[in-house]
Amino acid sequence: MSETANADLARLFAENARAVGAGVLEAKNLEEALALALKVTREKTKAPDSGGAANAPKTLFLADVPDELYRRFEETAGKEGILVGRDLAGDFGEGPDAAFSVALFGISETGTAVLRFDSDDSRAAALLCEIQVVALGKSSLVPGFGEAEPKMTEIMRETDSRLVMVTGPSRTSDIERVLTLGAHGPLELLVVLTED
Amino acid sequence: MARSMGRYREEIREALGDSYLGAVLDKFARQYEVAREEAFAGIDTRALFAEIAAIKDEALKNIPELYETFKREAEKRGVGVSLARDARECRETILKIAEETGSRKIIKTKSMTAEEIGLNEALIAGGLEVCETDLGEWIVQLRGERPTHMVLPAIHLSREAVAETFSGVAGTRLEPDIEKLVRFARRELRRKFLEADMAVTGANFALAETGTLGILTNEGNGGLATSLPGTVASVVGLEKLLAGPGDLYPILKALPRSATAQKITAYATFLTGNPGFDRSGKKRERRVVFLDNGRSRLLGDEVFRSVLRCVRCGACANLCPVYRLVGGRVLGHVYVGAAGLLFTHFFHGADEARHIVANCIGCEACKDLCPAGIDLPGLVFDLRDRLAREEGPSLWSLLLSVVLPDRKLWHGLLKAGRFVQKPFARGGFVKSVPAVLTEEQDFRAIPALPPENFRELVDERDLNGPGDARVSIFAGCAHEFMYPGDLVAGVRLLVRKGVSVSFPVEQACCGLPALTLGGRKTAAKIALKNLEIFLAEDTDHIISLCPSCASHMKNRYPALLGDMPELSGDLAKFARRIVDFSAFLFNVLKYSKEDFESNSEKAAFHGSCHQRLGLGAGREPRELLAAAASYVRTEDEELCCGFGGTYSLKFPEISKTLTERKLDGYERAGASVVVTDCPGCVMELSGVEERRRRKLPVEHMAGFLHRLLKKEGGGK
Repeated sequence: MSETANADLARLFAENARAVGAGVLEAKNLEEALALALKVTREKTKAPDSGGAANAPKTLFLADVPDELYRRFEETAGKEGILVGRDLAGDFGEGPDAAFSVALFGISETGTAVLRFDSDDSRAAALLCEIQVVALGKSSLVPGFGEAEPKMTEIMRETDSRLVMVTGPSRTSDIERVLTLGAHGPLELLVVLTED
Repeated sequence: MARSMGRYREEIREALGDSYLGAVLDKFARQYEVAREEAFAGIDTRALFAEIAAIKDEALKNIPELYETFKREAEKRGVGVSLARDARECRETILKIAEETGSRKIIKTKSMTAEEIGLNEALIAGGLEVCETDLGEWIVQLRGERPTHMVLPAIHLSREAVAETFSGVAGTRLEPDIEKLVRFARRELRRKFLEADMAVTGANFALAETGTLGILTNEGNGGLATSLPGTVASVVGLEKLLAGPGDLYPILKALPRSATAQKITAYATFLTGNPGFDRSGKKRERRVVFLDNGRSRLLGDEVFRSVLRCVRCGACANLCPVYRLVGGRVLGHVYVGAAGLLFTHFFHGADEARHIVANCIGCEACKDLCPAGIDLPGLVFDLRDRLAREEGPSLWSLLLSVVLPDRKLWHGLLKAGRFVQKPFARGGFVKSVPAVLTEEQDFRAIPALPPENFRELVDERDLNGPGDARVSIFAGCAHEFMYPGDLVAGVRLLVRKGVSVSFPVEQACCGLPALTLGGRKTAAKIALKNLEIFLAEDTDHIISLCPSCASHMKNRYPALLGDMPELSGDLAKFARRIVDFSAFLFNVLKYSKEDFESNSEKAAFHGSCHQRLGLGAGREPRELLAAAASYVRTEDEELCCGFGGTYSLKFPEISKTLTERKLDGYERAGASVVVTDCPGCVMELSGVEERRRRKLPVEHMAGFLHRLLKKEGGGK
C-alpha cells in the first residue's frame, strides 16, 4: 500500500477511535509503544474505589510480547517499582493497572483494533485492567470489514483461537441511558499507532 | 399462568400511570431515531437488510446440517456440543454441566435465550448461586424483575431506583450518581467474576464452518465470563447458526447500528476451540447447548419462518408508539416489541401471546427498521388470521366477513346509520356514545354522518372530464360516508389542474378492517374485487385520500392474492398505479404558492403512519402546507395518532393517551389548525379535541387546500 493511502487510513482510524472515547498516540516501534505503556502506568492514579491497598505497587500486564523484550521491560519497570507480569497470579489477580497487547491489525472505518490472544489469561487481563494499551502497526490498517474478513476467517479456522475486536473502552448505558465508560472492562483505551 | 384481558388492561393502566417510564421511553425513542439515522448514514440500508435477509434465509434452510457441522468442528476442537429440544431439557443440561464440573457459583452474561427458558430460576432451585453480570440484568435480577428491553434491560428504572437497590446490596446508602453506581457495580461484580466456577453465556453468532461462537458486548462482561471461570456453557438458539465467518460481516455492520446506533460494539469476541488447561493444571470445560424450543416447528412454517431471521436488536420496540408509551412489560413477555410479540406466540404459546398480539396498533413503524428485513406488520396480520382460524373468529370479524364484501349491504347499513343517529347528532358529532361502544370509548366524540354521502354529493360535472392525466378515485368508507366533503374537495383539486377523474361505482371497502381483525379470507375476497374493478378502468393513476386504504391496496394485496400467481402481473400494475394524494398534487400537478389566497393560517402537520411508511410520502404534504399557509413545524409530527382503526376499541386508554399527547404538542406550538392526509387521523384527533372541549380544528389536506385556493376557474 502507498504511503499516502496508509496515512489516510491512520488518520481515519484515529478519528473513529477517538469518536468512541479511545486515546490515539503515535510511536516509532513496538519498543517505544511499550515505553508509553510504562509511562501511563507510572502516571496512573489509583482510582479510590479500585480495590487493593493505596500503596501497593503499580502493575503492568504484558500480553504476548516476545521473551527478550519482555525481560528487558521487566527490568526497566522494576527500577521504577512497577511490577510487570504475564499471568493473572499474585498482584495481578484482581486485575492490573494497565495491560499491554499488540494488535493483529486495525479497521479504520470503525476505529477497531483486532487482537488475537494466546491465552485466556491475556484476554482477561486486557479487560480486568483500568487502562488498556494496544500497539497497532500503521501498515496493518485495513479500510473496513470487507478487508478484515479474510484475515479473521483464516484465524477462526484454526484449532484454538480467541479473536477480539476492540473499539473504545468498556461502556454501559444501562442506567437512564447515560453513557458511562469503564463498566467491567478498562476505563481507558489507548491505541499506539506504530510505524513498523 | 397467562394474563387475563382484565389483568392485562390493569397492567396497561399501571404503565400509563408510571410517569417516569413514559418520559424515559419517549426520550429514548427521540434520541434513538436521530442516532440510528446518523449511524446508518451513507449506507444503502435496503440493500444491506436484503443481504442479511438472504444470508439468514439460506442458513435457516439448512439448520440441521449447520448444527451437525458446528458440532463436528467444535468437538474436534475440544468443545462439547448438544441440542436441547425444549426449555426443560435445556435447563437440565445446564444443571448437569454444573454438577459434572462441581460448579456452585455461576455468573451469567445477558442472554435472551436463557430468559426464554427461565434458566435462572432453575439454577437457583438447583441450589446454585447465580449472578447476572450485564449491569442492567443485574439490576433487574436484584429487584426480582424481568428485563423490559432486549438491549436495555433496566430502561424502566431511574437512577434513584437503582441507587436504592444497590444500597440494599452495599448495606449503606448510595447516592443516585450514575458514575458512582456503575463503579459500585464494577467492584461488586468483579468479585463475582473472580470467584465464579462457571459462566453461562448467550451468543450472537454460531459459525458452523469453524465451530466459532461470536459474542457482542459493550461492558466487557462477555469477555470476562468466557475467560475467567473454568467452565463456560453457552446457550444458543438454533437460529443463531450461520454457515461460516463469511456470513458475519453484514450482520456485524447492521446489528450494533440498529441496536444502539453504534458502528460496532466495544467488544466483539470470537471464540474457537477449547483453550485447554488453566494455570493450576485444571482442564477447562467449554460447552455449547443449542436450543430448539419450537424453532424446528417454526422452520417448517412457510408463513412465519422469517421471524427466525431476527438478530435481537430491539429496533422494532424502540420506535413502536405503543412500546414507547407502556414499555416491555406490557408489550412483551420475555421478548418485547413486534418481533417479541411473534416470539411469545411461538415460544411461549398462544395464551401468553393473545393480548400482546392484539396490542399492535398496525402503524407499521417497525417495518423498514428491521435489519433482517422481517415484514413484522405483515406477520402480525398473519398471526391474527391464524389465531382466528384456530380459535374461531371474533364476533366483529364474523360480522365484517358478511358485510364488507357486499357493497350494497355495507353501504345500506351506513346509510341506515344516518337516520338512526339523527336525534343524537349535534355540531358535526354524535352527542353520546353509541350503544355498541362502552363508556371507555367516550374520550373521543364520534363524528355524525352527514346527510349526503360522496356519491350523492359529488357534482357529476367533476367526473370523467376531458383532462390529460386520468385518475381513478378509491373513496374508502370514511370518505364516502363520514367526510364526503373532503373527497369532493380532493376531486376538485385534481380537476382544476386538468385531471380527468373517474369514480368506479362498484367499489366498496379496501378490506383493511377485515385483515386487522384476522379475516384474511374476507380481505382477499375484497382485494380481488377491487383489483378487477380498477384494472377495468385502465387509468394512469389510482388515488385514495385515505393513506391507510391506499397503502393496504398497494402493499398488502400482492400477499393477500399470493396464491393466484396468474395475477402477479395485474397486481404489479395495480400497485404501480396507486400514488399518494399529496405527492401527486405536489410532484405532478405542481401545486405551489401561486395557487392559494394569502391567509394567516398557522398549519401544523400530522403525518399518518401509512402515508409515510406505506406510500413513502412525507416531504410533499409539508411542501403543500408551506405553499398554502404558514407551516408550523412541531415535534413528533409523524408519531401515530393512536387511532389504529379497531385498535382504539380494544385499548382505549392507550389510544387516548397517544392522541392527547399529540394534541397537546400542537397546542403548545401555537398552531391554528392541524392538517393530515388521513380521515382516520382526522376522526381521532378532532374527536378527542371535541370531547375535551378544546378548539383546535383538525382538517384533511384536501379540504384545507381547497378552502384556501384562489377563487378562479374550477375553484370554490
